[in-house]
Amino acid sequence: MSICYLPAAYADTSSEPKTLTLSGFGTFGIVKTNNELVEFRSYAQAPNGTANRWEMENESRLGLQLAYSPNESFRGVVQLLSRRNERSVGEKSNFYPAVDWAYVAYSPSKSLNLRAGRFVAPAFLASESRAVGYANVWIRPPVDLYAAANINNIDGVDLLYRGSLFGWTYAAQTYAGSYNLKFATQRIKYEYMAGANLTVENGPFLLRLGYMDARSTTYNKADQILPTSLATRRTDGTSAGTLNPTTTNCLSQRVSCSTLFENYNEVLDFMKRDKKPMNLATIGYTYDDGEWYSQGEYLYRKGGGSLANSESAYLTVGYRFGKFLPHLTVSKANPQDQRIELKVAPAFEANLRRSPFGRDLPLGVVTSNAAQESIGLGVRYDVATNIALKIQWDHMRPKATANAPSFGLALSPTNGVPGKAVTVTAIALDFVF
Amino acid sequence: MKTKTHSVARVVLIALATTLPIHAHANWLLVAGAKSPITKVSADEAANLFLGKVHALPGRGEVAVVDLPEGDSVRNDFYTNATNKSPSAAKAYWSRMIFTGKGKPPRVLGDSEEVKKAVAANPAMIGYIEKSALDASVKVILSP
Repeated sequence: MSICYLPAAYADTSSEPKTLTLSGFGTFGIVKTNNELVEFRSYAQAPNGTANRWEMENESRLGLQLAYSPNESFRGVVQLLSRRNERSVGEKSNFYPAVDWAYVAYSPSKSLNLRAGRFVAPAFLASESRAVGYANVWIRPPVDLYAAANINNIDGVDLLYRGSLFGWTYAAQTYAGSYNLKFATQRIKYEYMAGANLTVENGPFLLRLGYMDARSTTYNKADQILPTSLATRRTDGTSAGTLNPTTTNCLSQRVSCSTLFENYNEVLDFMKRDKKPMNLATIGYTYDDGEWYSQGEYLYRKGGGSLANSESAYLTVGYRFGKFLPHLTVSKANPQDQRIELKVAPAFEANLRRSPFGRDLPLGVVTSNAAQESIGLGVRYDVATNIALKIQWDHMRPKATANAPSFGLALSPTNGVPGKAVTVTAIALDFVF
Repeated sequence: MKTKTHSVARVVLIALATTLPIHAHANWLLVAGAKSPITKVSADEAANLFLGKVHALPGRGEVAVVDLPEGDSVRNDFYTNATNKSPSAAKAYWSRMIFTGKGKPPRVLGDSEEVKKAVAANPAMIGYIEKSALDASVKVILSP
């Protein structure tokens, strides 16, 4: 295949002489919060998070890629990702590798690439490279935006077209597929995912527009669609217990909840994540002139049922001092949650008001309310051309909405008390080979 | 006060001087074969070609590029000048491309002599070489 000995008149524009390549990436990282009662989850599929003790398992991973290109037009790629996964139980971690990417690619020309198989949904700027620590400035993409959508892989097809126009280069991608995303206690079935994005670049500037349309259903371990019951709140947003559709003694009134509340079934059906939308519209940019580095992104998420519509945004600014790149990030997640009130059937109203539950009335349910504001400070140090050492502090403040307090994003208070701000500290060593 | 203004002006001048795209000391020349139809590329075109953002030049058709090995000082000079990317930043860029299936880095040849031989034999190929390696088999299409 060596090009050196071809006759002079033969113009060969093939790029990669190797047919089989093995490459990999990984991160050894440690992470902790500053509060023993608040766990931080580095990624959504982790079965639990890390509180105030240094933890290595939630911030470390290894990826391996095997690519085979028999010729310039075809390419087969399998990429495994090993990290603590949803099959971990209790203290026992499971690092069994998952197939993160597995596709066959066909390039009829240098500018067009078609793929079929499994790939990572290109929802946001850094979605596809989220696991490749070395490729990113931060230890992890800002959670206020990247944890706002539980999107991971797609089994399907995509098309990527590259070109240039008026001195700008562009890449247009469109894709469609489905996926069954598994978590420790639930799974989300995306029966329909389709999207498109456009990236335009000129020198240090990159601008990206993206849209993804998905319908998803959330199931618990028993394959029931979530939520299976209604978690109610008082008008001040505090929790007031769960109303289960199977009980025959709803709020001790000796009737079912659908009898006690006129609109119980209607509200439960509304809340259920049953083929409900999760549509993501994003705009993002990066600027990198070799010294200044900046990246920002805005997301509008259209939800449905228990998942509220939400906005997220972040802005990162950094400056390179030789091999050091200190950076500052501000970010925010702003859900537009809504409260839906349960209407007590008139026949039971007087009795319910006199009961101990009377002071909780009127009861309502609130759609997802993960409001949060964060500020992050970090440094990337390029140890060698394939190793980076990073340290990062993220101060995350869950914010109450008008309807309810917030647990925040990627945070879970182990005592169930929402709204506690924490500082997450992480140190990571990223490598590629 | 005056000395302070002067020192500020000097810092600004030095900062400007270090950011201006004057890299005359950099030891690289971008070359094509002597008989290649490619006669000139701009710095932006070179950056886009070597970063795999384009694979063709307007009016000149498809173009293949070749790299020198990682760690080579000529390669580092070329990438720093043409793409504004340090070796680590270029590696981070290619990691993002490789592990997302968006592209493959250029093929790597051993040294400037091999690059000259390859581009001389292939009219659609360009590559960078160290200045002292320049001879009649290739022509310069971009210099620092």
